[in-house]
Amino acid sequence: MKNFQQVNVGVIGVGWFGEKHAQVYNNLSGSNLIGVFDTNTETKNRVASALGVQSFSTINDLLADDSIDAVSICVKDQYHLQPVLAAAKAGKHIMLEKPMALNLEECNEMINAVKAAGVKLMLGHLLRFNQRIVRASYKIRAGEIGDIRHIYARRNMPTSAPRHVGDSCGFHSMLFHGAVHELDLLQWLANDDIVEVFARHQSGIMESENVHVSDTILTYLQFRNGAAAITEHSWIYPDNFPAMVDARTDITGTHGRIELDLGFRGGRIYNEKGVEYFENPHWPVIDDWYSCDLRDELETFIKCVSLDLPVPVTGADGRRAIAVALAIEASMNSKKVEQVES
Amino acid sequence: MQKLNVAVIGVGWFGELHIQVYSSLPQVNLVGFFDENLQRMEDISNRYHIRAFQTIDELLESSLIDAVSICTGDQNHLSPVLKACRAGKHVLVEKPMARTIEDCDIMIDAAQKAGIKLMPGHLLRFNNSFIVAKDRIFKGEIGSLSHIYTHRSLPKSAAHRISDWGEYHSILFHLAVHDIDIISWLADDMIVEVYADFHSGILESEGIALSDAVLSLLRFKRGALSLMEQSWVHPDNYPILVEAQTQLTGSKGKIEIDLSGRGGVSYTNNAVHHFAETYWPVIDGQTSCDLRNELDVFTKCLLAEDPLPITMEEGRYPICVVTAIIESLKNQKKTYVMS
Repeated sequence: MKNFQQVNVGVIGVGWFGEKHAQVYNNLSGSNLIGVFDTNTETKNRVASALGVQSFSTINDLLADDSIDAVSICVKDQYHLQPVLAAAKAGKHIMLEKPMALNLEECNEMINAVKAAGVKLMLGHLLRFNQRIVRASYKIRAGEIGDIRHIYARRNMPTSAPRHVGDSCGFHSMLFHGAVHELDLLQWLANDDIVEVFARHQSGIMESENVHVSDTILTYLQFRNGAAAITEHSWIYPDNFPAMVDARTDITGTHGRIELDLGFRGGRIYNEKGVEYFENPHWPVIDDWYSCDLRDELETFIKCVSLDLPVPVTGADGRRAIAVALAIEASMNSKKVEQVES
Repeated sequence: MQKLNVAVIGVGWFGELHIQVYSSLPQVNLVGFFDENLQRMEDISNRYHIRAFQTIDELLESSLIDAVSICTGDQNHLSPVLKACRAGKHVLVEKPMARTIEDCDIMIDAAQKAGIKLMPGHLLRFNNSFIVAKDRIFKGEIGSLSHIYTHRSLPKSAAHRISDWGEYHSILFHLAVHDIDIISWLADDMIVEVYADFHSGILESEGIALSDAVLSLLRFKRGALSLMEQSWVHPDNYPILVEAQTQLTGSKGKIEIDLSGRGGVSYTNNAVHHFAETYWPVIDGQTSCDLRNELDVFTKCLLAEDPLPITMEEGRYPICVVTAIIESLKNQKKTYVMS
């Protein structure tokens, strides 16, 4: 690309997903991975060594490196605020993993900080980069299904997921960890805000395994302009379920319908081990590097930094999803319809 | 930042996709393009703001260019490839490499003499489902291979679009090359014998001199069999653009790869449309997934001076199999594959 200058990147938080960020940046032609940080020294050193990049002793050391233009922040969901504030202060552009934060005050603080520092903040709402979702959005914007009337969406997982995530985001961790994908996606597809919610949850199964989180969250979401959505988020599928995620989004409009299978099982293997759906829907691997959604997301961030373009998924978008999550949580507590704080 | 200077020769439907990808790869300078159709040249030039060379020679003489994609019609690969080799440019040639084994040999010879790198555009090698399947087979997860079923079908409009290419069984060059390459790669084996039959009449009744469907029975060297089906007579409102499936059964298990549909379907205005293939989806004007992977890897390998992931011989081999299939179609006999 003309005018494209390579971007130097650091990754803060290299757990399961942060490591993927680091691997993608290390492989993209447009980015140069300088180094990584993690509070777990063993993890940090393993990742740094595998990629042949610097292992920074502290976050501040990483942020003080003048060669670094931008950072991905992939620390645990409940700890996003401090690294974001520090990165903004250090003048680094920021790619922040979802969920933005677990409350609106922190979302606001982050938005103000990046504005004051004049740096970019992009939210990692990965589904916005899934080609079947994007192509569905083109059809919707072109009016192919008329006005949206209602949406059904689910994102369910086996029990290995809550065992891994635990109650890091509180009792309703699944809301901030999983459902936030749909909370951003549905508002983006409908091009409208969710203003009112009713939600109930079920619990008991994960608690009986000593993981103190709810099992299933079912919601009814009301959009400002009249559309409605029903969502299902459950992470009690059996561990021998053939795929990591069972997700779909079905959209009914006045003139048509779109059905999206987001855990699409294009590759299946059957042998004495059982059944496995091995196609990776969101970060498929080509040789030892990543393709499609995650790669496109991070490459977009890099291009926005290099060419000084506005990022497509903003702090305001991240905050909007959290506002709905909090209303859902309030509704589960009050057992009443709740309004979304704007 | 090190960048590769690239040009595209032939900007029909697929050549334009190459242009879209190259335009958005950070490590590529898309210098320009050439096409014989002047109107197409003007259209592409206006939309992509890249240089339209007046002749193919002018393009190849440019010292600014390191590599070219050759996306001319299937029957027109030889001449541009030879010219590119002589001009010292690295080449990505779209499948099928050529329509005769002889032409493949001439290309390979020219590339070797010129010391340039030549890669056939076997797109399926850059699809994640196939890559993972290959890994699982390699690890023994389905044991030793017994038989394969592979199928690739298109609507009639595809046949109408290429009706003037002078080869009655064009479907074999247009579609079967993909299947032959991918099943041989998955099986890590070579096809040695074929028997095939074809159906005709549907396209002929629409004024197109092409066969409708070819069904082949293939035998690999180590004994596995494959049933292969290609057709291009689906009704034009068939909801899936490329219906494609590959299934491999072995002594210990089975793998299924279904690239039809791909998880997105719309029902609008009495039309059903399975719209989510990953071959070359365009997201915000930028082509993503499989085709992007292919061109990304091609250009990165050239920059790093790494070997290209698909060899010239791998471009030639499917043409040997297709040649045997065509002979079998003529003689109604089992035919050995020339190597």
